[in-house]
Amino acid sequence: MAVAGCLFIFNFKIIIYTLVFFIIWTFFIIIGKPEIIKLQNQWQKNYSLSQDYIYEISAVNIIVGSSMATRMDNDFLPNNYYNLSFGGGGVLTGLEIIKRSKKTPSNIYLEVNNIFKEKDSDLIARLFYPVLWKIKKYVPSLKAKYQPINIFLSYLKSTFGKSHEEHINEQKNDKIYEMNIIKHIINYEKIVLDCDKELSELKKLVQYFEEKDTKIIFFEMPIDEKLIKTKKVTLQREIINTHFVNDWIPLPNNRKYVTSDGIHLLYKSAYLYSKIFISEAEKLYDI
Amino acid sequence: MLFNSFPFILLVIITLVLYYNRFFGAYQVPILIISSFTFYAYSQPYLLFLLFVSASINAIVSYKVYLEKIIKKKKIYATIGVVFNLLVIIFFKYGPLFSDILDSFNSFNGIGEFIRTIPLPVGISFYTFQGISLVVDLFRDNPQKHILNRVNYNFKKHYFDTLFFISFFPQLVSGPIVKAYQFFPQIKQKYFKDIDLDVAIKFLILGYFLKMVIADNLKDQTFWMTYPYFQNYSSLTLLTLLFGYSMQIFSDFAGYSLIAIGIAKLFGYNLIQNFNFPYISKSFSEFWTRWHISLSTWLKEYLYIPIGGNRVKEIRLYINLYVVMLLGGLWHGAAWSYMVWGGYHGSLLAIEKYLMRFTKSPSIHFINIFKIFIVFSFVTFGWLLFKLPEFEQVILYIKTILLNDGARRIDIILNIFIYSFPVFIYHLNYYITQFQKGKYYLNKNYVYAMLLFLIISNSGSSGVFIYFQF
Repeated sequence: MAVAGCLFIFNFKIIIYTLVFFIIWTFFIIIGKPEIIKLQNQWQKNYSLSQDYIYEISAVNIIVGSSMATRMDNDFLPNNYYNLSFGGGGVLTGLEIIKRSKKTPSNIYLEVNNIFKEKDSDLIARLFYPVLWKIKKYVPSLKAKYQPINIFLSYLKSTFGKSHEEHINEQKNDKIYEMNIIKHIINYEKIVLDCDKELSELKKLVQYFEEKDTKIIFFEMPIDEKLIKTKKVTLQREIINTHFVNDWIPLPNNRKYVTSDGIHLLYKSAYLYSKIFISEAEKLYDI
Repeated sequence: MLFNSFPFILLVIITLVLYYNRFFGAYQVPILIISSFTFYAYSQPYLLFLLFVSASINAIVSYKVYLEKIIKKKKIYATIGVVFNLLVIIFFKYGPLFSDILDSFNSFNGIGEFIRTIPLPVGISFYTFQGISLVVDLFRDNPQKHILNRVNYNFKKHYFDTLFFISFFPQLVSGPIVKAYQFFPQIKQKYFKDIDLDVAIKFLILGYFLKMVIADNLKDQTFWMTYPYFQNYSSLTLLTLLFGYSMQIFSDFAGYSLIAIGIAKLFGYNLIQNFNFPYISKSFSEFWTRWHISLSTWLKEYLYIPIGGNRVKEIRLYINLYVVMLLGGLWHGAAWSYMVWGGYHGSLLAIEKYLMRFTKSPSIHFINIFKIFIVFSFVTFGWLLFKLPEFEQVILYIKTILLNDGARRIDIILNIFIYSFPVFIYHLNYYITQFQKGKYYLNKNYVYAMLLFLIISNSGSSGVFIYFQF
């Protein structure tokens, strides 16, 4: 990209037209403030969510976790909470982003279900690319969520997309559920947790935040009953309890919730659990 | 080092400044060799040793071929060169295939394990093929078609020229595969005033657009084609994903090739066009004159024609086609699926050749479009063997398409069509241009400006070029 950019001095017309397009687009973003309700994929969601956190969000309660915790949509949470969980990502990525953005939240909630997921170094490198990440703060049209295609997709979604009621009434697809639950049971049982590196990183990050007076609280997202006593769930819980003395949000009553595939909550259940989560979290730091 | 990374951009700028500096005019080739070695060694410096040794041996052997007057001896040197290059590619690329066999013999205990730990050197399939091209072209050289400038030619010059030819960084890791007879005559001092910057820049913009906007965005959609995720989706979603992958692989590789050609042009070198609107092909044989042209012409010139080409009996012709396509498939990697992919295309070519004897369809738009659709569908179906590394997964993907009991993902389908649309327009524009000569509607400054604007504002997350793995 920049090779072309650097050489454009040789073709003024192209650079002038590009500048015009870019300036018009930037003004449209600044003045029009388009609402982005649809992003293209989970990696872009992760990227955009992180950029929002780095540049815009001042919440003091941050949730970090995997795709399981992403179900607690930021729309379900009060303004002083922000969910920095990632599809395909995990706790370590979230903690690293908070650390690098030089923010010190009062409380960080760590989802335990996939706590030893490897850090997403690519995402972190993209977010904090030297110089560029500072520029993006002041030029909104360079942020991922303001990609032209996202504006188009958001328009389509607001015009033709599912209504709120349709989301609430989202039903489990039995075939997909059956196929996935069997896979999860097998994977959760045969898991070999080789997590020394991730555990040591987690300890360092927890220590870093605790030194800055940030409270670290663990929690588990509800899962299908068939998975509750599997090796992965018990082993992870055991490791966390052995190495950390932090508080926990009380474990959820898994029977109350419905998942699409054994581990990801359906919309209604996610909404319900978000409310319970907030109420338990409030109780915890009120004490 | 990726073409879309800042270290690469810096390398190109520094190299350009030194290259066209009048104080270094006599050192243009060494400057490009140093830059190419820096480019290659950036992430895995130890692999540079193999590239250097391979290029050096090719330089020595090819110089012997060039000097030798007795045809018999010339042939021996050329054979040594070809065998050396084949051994290098077989050992590093196909070693893991043989390691399992070695493991079954007690006396070779541990050797198989050792072979599996050897990394696959990036670009090995490309630079060994260029090495073969060098020795063969010099063997075939004749007074009418000189490859080398014979005035004041000596080993030192040949050595540097060969290092340059094999390692020239725009084409080193993913082609286009350059043939010696195309490249060596271009080696001479270049002047900035002679460079067609407008054309070079347009190549770069189009290449980066195809890679960063189309391929990188499609990559995040076609991720769901991987095992086990694809099992969750409906037939329509799976077919659209396959269509999206077809667009992605074209944009990724054609984008890379255009960037390589554009950068080479900045240094005054013309590389062979690697893609010529392949998805408008009306036949499978036409497809192979438009897709990865540098590989298909290499296979044609150095394999298909030497084993007889079209000048053989009918049965032998089909066998030749099949062998070339099987080896072409295997060139992509040491996996059965690549061989099956080669066999699949070999079969399509053979069947087409056979049927062509009986039918001759008129060139009517409607029929042409139908043919394009058929060729595109078969080619796209074949990409499944590229995307899924295990043959069992390919079978499962097809089964899942037939069962149609997964979820329909409208968002994925929509994204794929949005990002495939520019590729469709790109081909359509060319198709229309064929009938309205000289009217290339997209060759406008504001079109390129729009592409550049989209590169800045709508790029996907940067991904490794698909053809790096080959």
